[in-house]
This record gives sequence, structure tokens and C-alpha cells, in this order.
Amino acid sequence: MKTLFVRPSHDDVVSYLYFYSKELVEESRKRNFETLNKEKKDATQKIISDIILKNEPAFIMFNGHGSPNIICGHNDGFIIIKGNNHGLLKNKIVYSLSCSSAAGIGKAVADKNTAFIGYTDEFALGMDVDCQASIHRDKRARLFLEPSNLLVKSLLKGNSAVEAVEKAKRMMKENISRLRTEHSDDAKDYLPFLFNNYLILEVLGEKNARLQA
Amino acid sequence: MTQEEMVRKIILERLKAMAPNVKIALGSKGEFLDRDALMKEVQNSTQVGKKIVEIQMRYLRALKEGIV
Repeated sequence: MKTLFVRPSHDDVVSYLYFYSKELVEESRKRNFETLNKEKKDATQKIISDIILKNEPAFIMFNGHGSPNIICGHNDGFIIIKGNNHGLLKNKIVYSLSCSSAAGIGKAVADKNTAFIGYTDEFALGMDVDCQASIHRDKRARLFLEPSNLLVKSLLKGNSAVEAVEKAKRMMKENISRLRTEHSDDAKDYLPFLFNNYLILEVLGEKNARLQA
Repeated sequence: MTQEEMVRKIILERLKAMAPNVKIALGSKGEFLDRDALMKEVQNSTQVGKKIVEIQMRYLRALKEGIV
């Protein structure tokens, strides 16, 4: 079974997603999935469309900017456009870590053979300026991105789409609770944004879809 | 003052109280915004600014209703 990771890295925000998703590519390989990783300048519509058509991956993760009708890649070039090529996502489990794509593309592709996991509104990412030079030390960004990573790890482990989303949401809630009891000055400032991510994460289509290596 | 202006004023006060090390990325802007930039978005009622207000209000409502 094949997996595909689409990981642009052309601006500050997607660089964070790029960094955090590296371990997911490794995890996928470790679990014996035939893992296709298209990153940076390879995250284009042409390359990704060809890969999907040729390899029919069972799972695709998109990192990048987006809107209800678009999932973007390198330099914000369009990769998936609703009404144009969203059919490429049919019969798969898709996780789109991009703003709002579940609201349009997700709804369009969701069916009994397709699970689309994503955000129905704008995904927020927090960071700590004091850690800007070293992403891996940024404990605040981790609060936002670790639930997302848990979601993918859970899918790779064989959990169903709905179970993976539940696990991620549980971790988001734990992170919110932890921040609420922290005494540092900045803790309260991340809370509305973390809570929003919790509210807008959804699984559409076949909720019981699962991967098998 | 309209209700919308009042809400915006409340959110601006909340943003003003943010710690200086906090940055937030929202939407398709490929950059993180610090306190002053977030406030500017709200003051100018940009798309990002409106979303910030919406997110903050959702959280305040959830607090009031005991959801978080």
C-alpha cells in the first residue's frame, strides 16, 4: 500500500509544517508503506497529479495553504482545485493540513469510498518568537502541530479515520487544559487559536476507512 | 458605538495584552503576525482581522458557557 506526502517549504508557515511532517514520512516508511515524499519545488500540480494517477496512493497528506476550493503547494501554486481535478482524491484517505479545504473540496470528494480529513475554516498556528531560529525547540508550535502528527500516526497505525480524528482532538483538549493552568505570560494568548483548530477539524465521507501496510 | 465596533474594541484590548513573544499565523498569509500586526489587521477590518475577531469571540463564548 502506498502513501504520499506533499510538503512545500517556501515560506515561514509551511516551513513549520514541513519540519513537523518529516517524522511522519519516516513513520510511514517504518510501517512498511511504500512512501512517496514530494517536497519543496516538487510539490506542484503536474508532479502530484502524475504521481497520484500512476501510483494510486491509499493515503495522501497535503501540507500547505488553502481555501474551500483550493489546496496549494510550492509557491502557493494550485495542486487541487474543486471542480477541476478534485476527483484525484477519490477512493483514498486524505488529510489536508491547510485552511478551509474540508469546507469545499472535502465535501465534494467525500463518499463511501473516500475519507477526507481537514479543517472547515482557517487553521491557526502559534509560535514563540524566542524559538524562531530553531523550530524543534518551539514548544508553542508543538502544541498546534503535535495533534496533527498524532492524527497521521494513528492512521498509519491502522486506526480508522474517525478514531484518528478523535485522538487528535483529545490531544488538542489536553493541550488547551495544560495551557489554562500554566502561569507563563503567553499561555493564555494561544488558547483561542488552539480551541478554534479543535472546533474546525472534521472527517467527511467514509469515517471507518483505515490503512493496512 | 455599534455592536460590531464594541466587539472589535474588546478584541483589540485582548490583543494589546498579548505577550510580546507570541506570533500567530492565520489563513493563507505565509508569515507569523505579532501582537501589533494582529491588532492592525483587526483595526483595518481585513479578512484576517475579521477572522481573528471571530476566533476570539468563539473562545469567549465557550468560556462563558463552560465548554473550555
